[in-house]
Amino acid sequence: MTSPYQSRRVQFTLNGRSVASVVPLPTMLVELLRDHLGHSGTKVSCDTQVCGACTVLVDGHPVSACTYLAIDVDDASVQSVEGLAAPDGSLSPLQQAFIDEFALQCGFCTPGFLMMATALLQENASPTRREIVEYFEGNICRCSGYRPIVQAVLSAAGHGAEGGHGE
Amino acid sequence: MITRFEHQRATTVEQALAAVASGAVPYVGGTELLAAMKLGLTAPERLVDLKQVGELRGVRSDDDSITIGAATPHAEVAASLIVRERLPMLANVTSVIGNPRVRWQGTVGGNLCFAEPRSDLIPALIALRARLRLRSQEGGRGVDMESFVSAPFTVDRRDDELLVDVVIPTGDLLFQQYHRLQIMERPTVGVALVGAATGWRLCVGAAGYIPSWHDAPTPGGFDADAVADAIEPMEDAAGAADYKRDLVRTLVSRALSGARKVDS
Repeated sequence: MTSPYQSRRVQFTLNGRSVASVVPLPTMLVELLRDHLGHSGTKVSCDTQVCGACTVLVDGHPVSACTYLAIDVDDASVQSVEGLAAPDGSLSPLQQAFIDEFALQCGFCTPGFLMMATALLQENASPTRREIVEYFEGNICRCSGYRPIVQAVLSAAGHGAEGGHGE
Repeated sequence: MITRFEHQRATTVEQALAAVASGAVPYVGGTELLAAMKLGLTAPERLVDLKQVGELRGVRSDDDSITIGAATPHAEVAASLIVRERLPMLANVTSVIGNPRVRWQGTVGGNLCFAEPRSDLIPALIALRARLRLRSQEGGRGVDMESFVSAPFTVDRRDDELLVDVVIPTGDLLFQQYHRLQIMERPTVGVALVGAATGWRLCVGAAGYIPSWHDAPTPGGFDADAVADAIEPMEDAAGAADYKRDLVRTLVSRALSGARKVDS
C-alpha cells in the first residue's frame, strides 16, 4: 500500500526497549503504537483529548496519544500500559489494586486510568482523594466506576480502605 | 482526515523564524492545532515543531517582572516556585486549564495564539497587564495582551512572526484573584481581578466572543451589574446568554468582595 503522505523514520524507547518505525507524517502516536507496533492496550475513544482512554507517558508526562504526532516521540521515552507489569508478567501494585478494588467493568477506559494514575503517583506519591478526583478530570468511565477507581489509587498509594488522609 | 503536510523541527529561534517566514505553521504540543487539523478546520501545508527550541521555554524573573517563554507547558508554569510565590493567580489558572494531559502538552503561547474564546489564560493575562513579545526575521515588537485578541481565533500575530514570550509586571501588585465556573471541557466563565498600586483591572473571559476588561482606580470603581450587562454572551452547550450573564455578575461580585476586604 502506498501512502499519499511523506514518511519519516521515528526511533524511540517504548517501555524501556528501543524501537523504530517508518510512519506517514500525519500518523498519530496511538496509531503508531496500535497499528505499527502491535501495542493495542492504548485505546481510542473520544479522539478529542477529553476521555483519556489513549493516555500514555512521553518522557514521564501524560499525553493524549490520539492527538500527538507519532514523529514527535523521536528520541523520546514512551510508556504505555504494556509497560506497567514486570517482565515476568506480575502486575504492578497499581494494576493489582484495580483488580482488588473491582475498579473496572468493561475495561476500555482502564489503560488510560492506569497511565494517568501512574503519572499522578510519580508527581505525588501520597495523593488525597480530592487530588485523585481532580487529576482524573480528563478521564471518562462510562460503566460509572469512578469510586472504585479512586479507591484503587488510594489503596496503591498505601492509604488502604479508609481513603487516605483527608479530602 | 489530515491532509498532506511537510514537517520540520527547529532547535533555535532563528531556524523557527526562517520556517515561519517561508509559510510554516508553528506548534508545540499541538493540542489545538492537531485537533483542528483532524476536524478538517485547517490544513497547513507546512508545520514547524518548536518543542526543541530551548530559548522559547521556561520561566525567568527579575525584581519587577516574570517572563514566560511561549513554548512553556502550562504544567511547568503551575509548578514554578517563582510563579507560585509572586503570581499565585497565574499558578492557579495554569493548574486548571483543560486536564493534566493538556497541561503537559499545551503551552502558554499556543493557548494565546490560538485564542479559543473559552480560555482561562487570556483573561488572566489581560488583568495582569502582560505584554507579549513577537519576533520575525525583520525584528521584534511588543503587543499589550489586551490588544492581542481581536476576534475568536484571531490575534495580532503575522504569519511570519513568532510569539517569543510573555512579560508580566509584578512590581506593584496588591491583589490577584481568578474566579471561574466550568461544567464542560472549557470554562463557562472566568473572571480575573488584579489590583496594583497604579490601578485595578477586571477581565471577564469565556462568556463573550472576546474578553472584556475594565480599569478603575480602586475596586469600588467596578460595578458588577454594569460589567455583566456589557457582555455579549456566547450561547453554547454550557449555557444560554441570560445564564452566562448571571454567572458573570455573581463571579464579579465575589471577586470584588474579596478585593474590598484587602483594600479596606
